[in-house]
Amino acid sequence: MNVDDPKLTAFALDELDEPKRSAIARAIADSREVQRFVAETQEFAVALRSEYRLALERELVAPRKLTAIQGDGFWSKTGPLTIAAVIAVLAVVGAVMFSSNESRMSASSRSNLPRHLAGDRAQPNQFAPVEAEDAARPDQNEKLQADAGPYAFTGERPFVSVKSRPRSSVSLVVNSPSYLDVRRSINEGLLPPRESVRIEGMINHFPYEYPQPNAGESFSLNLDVVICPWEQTHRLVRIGLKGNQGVTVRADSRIEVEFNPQRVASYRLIGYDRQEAEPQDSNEKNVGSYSIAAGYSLTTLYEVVPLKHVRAAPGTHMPNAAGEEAELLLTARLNIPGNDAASGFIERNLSDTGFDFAAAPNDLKFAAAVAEFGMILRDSEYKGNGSLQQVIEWAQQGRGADVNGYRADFIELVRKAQSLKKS
Amino acid sequence: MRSGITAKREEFEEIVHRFEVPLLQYARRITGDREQARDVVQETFVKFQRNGALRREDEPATWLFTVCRNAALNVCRKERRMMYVDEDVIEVRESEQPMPFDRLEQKEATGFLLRIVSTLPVRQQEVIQLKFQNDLSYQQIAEIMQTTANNVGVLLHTALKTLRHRYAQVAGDFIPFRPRPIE
Repeated sequence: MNVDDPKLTAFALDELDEPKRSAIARAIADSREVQRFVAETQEFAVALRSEYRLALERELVAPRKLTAIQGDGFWSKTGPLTIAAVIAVLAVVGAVMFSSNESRMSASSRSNLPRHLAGDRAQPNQFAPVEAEDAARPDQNEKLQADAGPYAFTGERPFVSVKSRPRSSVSLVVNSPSYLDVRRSINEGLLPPRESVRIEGMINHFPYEYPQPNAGESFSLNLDVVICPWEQTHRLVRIGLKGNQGVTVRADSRIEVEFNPQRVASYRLIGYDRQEAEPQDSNEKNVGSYSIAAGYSLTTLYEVVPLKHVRAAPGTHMPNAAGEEAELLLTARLNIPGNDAASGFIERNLSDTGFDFAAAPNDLKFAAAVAEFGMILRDSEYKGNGSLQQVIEWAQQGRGADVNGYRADFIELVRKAQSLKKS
Repeated sequence: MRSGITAKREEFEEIVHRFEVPLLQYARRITGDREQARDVVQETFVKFQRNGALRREDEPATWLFTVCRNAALNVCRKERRMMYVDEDVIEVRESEQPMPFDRLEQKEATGFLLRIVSTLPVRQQEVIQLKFQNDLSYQQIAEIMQTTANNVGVLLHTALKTLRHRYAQVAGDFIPFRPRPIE
């Protein structure tokens, strides 16, 4: 069977009667290419249904108002019954909208495709470790990792002591389709399996507004820090990168983050959890170059434990250095090898402002909501005291203009997950 | 106890609510004109009210879209825009908007995928809308478009293929996390 056969689309959309359906399921059992085609078709179907629904919600009120005010030939032709109907309709827009959502949800969950087919998209090396030294020295943090308990491998990145390792780095490329997998799973009525939840992919699925690069620079590098909403004694640091179209970067380019040991006890990179079967040398395969597309951006979150909130170990003491140096939380550097020195190297400092989460920019609130959603779905030991209800609240606070409706769609997805968790 | 008239009115209200905007979009795609689309949809509801009692037992979607489609094609005929009436021409006619993603109001009007849908040939747009907005089966869509379920399958398959292709072409500009590898 090849992907040009319309029967495959019919199969993916659950349009076939039983004998035909089974026959095709058998025929494609051995072809990953065809299975992927089917999974992608279903993904597009889910996305299209969702966009139609969002577009409908937006249009529902406006044209009705217009009709009611203008009162053209319709009214004389249809009589008072319809007038009453349309007026009543204005009042029940919300209620019926919900019921139509439900019917669409159940329609999309009718798929007969086995879940392993739909979810079978992860490729080896797709989620290479971002900190090479982590992979090389896995027992560096055995004390912190030991807290993970007697459970199976979770791959979560632990808090890392700044004293032992002040530097961390992240790749400029997030290559994870995770959000669509998570979304499809929840829309089908299933909470996604832990390993399919890739938080960095979820965060970066959404567009964020960062300033354009300064003249003469290829990227703008933006740092923010607020009180961490799911653990109030911690800080949440956001690193936002925006690039110009056409810059070419090597695939191993990274943002380097250096934490100030006088201010920070430990830090944790959110997401980028390791895969169980991940080869240790996967970084070495990360060769080649990328050209940065228009609108490129990267959002990375660190959870940071300030020094004053951890018990000082014997022999350590709070430095009494005065001035800004003591307030400096971290320095982030972007070094694009091969680019000329002026445009390829950017360095930014971040001081701890102690801003409350409520004062955070919308985009940061929203990204935090997505991160916490991912951690709750993974049942992460670092999810803190956040809840799905709070995820919804943070996402609503951070919703902003939401021109494409992506954020509204996210909020609805969290609501669905909430009802799945309850049931 | 509810009177028969109340029940009938509630039923009609719900149908107007459920189908008004989808029918407006559908008719607009065929006529290419917002105001004409409104006339067509109003005419459709009037007919439904007159004849609906006879078809109470049926799922109204097929009936509504069929009547709406015929009314929209009639408008085109009256306007002597025969090229729009001819089914074959409709099938190959590309939208007048090739890939106009830079128009602000368009960006705000619909989602990313729907903007790509609006660049497909009209009949492909039709099947996509009937299938994914209104959850109709191939058979129902075939009845509405006066063709075979097989042909609906081919149209939908072709439309999704093009959609996927164009999505991949432009996604780099909209999905910020996926820089394009250099060949």
